[in-house]
Amino acid sequence: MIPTNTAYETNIRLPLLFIVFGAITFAASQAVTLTAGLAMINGAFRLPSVWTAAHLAILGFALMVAMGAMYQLVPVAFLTPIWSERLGFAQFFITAAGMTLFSASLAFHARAALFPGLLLVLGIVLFLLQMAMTLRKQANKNIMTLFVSTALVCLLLTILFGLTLVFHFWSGTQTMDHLLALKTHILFGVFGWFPLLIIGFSYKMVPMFALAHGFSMKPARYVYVTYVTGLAVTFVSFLQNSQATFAAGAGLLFIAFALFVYHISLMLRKRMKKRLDRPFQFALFAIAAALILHGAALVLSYVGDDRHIAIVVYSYLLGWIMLSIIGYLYKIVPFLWWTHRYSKKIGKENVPTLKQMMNENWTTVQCALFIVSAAGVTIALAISSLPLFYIAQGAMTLFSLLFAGTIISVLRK
Amino acid sequence: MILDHRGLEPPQPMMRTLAALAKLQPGETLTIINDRRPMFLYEQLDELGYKHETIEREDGSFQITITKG
Repeated sequence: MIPTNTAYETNIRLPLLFIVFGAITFAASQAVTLTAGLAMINGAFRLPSVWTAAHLAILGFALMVAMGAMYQLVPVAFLTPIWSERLGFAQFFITAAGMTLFSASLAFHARAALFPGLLLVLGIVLFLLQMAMTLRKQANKNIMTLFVSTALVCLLLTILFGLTLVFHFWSGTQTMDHLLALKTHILFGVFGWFPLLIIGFSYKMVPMFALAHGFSMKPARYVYVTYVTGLAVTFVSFLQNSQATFAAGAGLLFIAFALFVYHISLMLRKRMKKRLDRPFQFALFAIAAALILHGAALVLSYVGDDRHIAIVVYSYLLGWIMLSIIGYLYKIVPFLWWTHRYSKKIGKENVPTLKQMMNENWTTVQCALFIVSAAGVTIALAISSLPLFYIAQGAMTLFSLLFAGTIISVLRK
Repeated sequence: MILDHRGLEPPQPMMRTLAALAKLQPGETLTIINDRRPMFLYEQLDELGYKHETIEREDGSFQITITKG
């Protein structure tokens, strides 16, 4: 039988809706973070303004962009169409409304955050249902499917523990130890869902962007097993309140990530493309930053206090998760828009090249601004310097505006 | 040589193309059939001085003929 075309394409409006919403919300999150400076430099992260800033950035930006990217990448990378695009649009509006109301309610009336929280959870659960139904239909499941599926399970656990936290705010009672729920919420959200998703898709994107071939995929299974064991051991350490177990968990996560770095370096050694694109170089830089931060977390698991661990978690969010997403978006958005706008016109009329969709030098300046700002914020938090915090966070807010402008400007080409 | 990459998960089509290109002698031609336009491959082909031509097939896939310069 002659094979037929199996190119599944999602309606481009769906991923772009998530991505544009995410880019705009990122700017809002950075402006709110600017107002939370005094609390943050004193190590007070558990305050309404910080909760709002964190959830605007993590849910409004990182989660929304990740969901949008998955609507685009899953059909392409796993050869299976999205289960229901209509559900995708409905899920966007429910999640966007839930996220906005939830973040606002954390700032102004945390006790009532349970109710918009439920709307937000509904949006995320619909997304999980969508992805479960989509991935179920993938013909040949592989290690990438395992990374992405486990990431989705972590997302489910994150929202369940998050829901427990806002239930505590509302009821004034505790269904379980509040600090245990908070730590687990952060563990599965920041160290489970995002990294597993980024690692899984990196295995697709690194060879694509570096034009690499002839490498082994075997190390990926060791990365997976070690990483997931590290997450489980860290969770157990919270249950036991045991520092030794916590250090063991942090150690396993560090080893798993080091293995991932080694595997990526093996791929890059087999690449054909000598000079890598700048945005992709920044996504690779994010991987290196994550390894250093995993090392810092390991050291702090022996000698550190909660404040220093919180700073490492925050810079891990900025330096690894946000920077990876930003780096890949600079690659994906022009590609998506070019395919939508020009792929049918090529050969018939003059069309811009992919490179002309976005000025690479300008993205380099922006990524450099992001890195300097993120480093500045981390140092400001570590040395409790309010002036440095305002300068670095001001620069980060400027970055977020430039970033949103750049993403939106591609869609006008 | 003709390589049919329809129905293969990325990055397989790109990796198979690169492996075949490595064996190509000057003046020889490689034809690939892909579900999508290999946007990231084009830049590399231009850089290496390979000539390439793309036609859209009836089933919506793309046939790319690459000649080593």
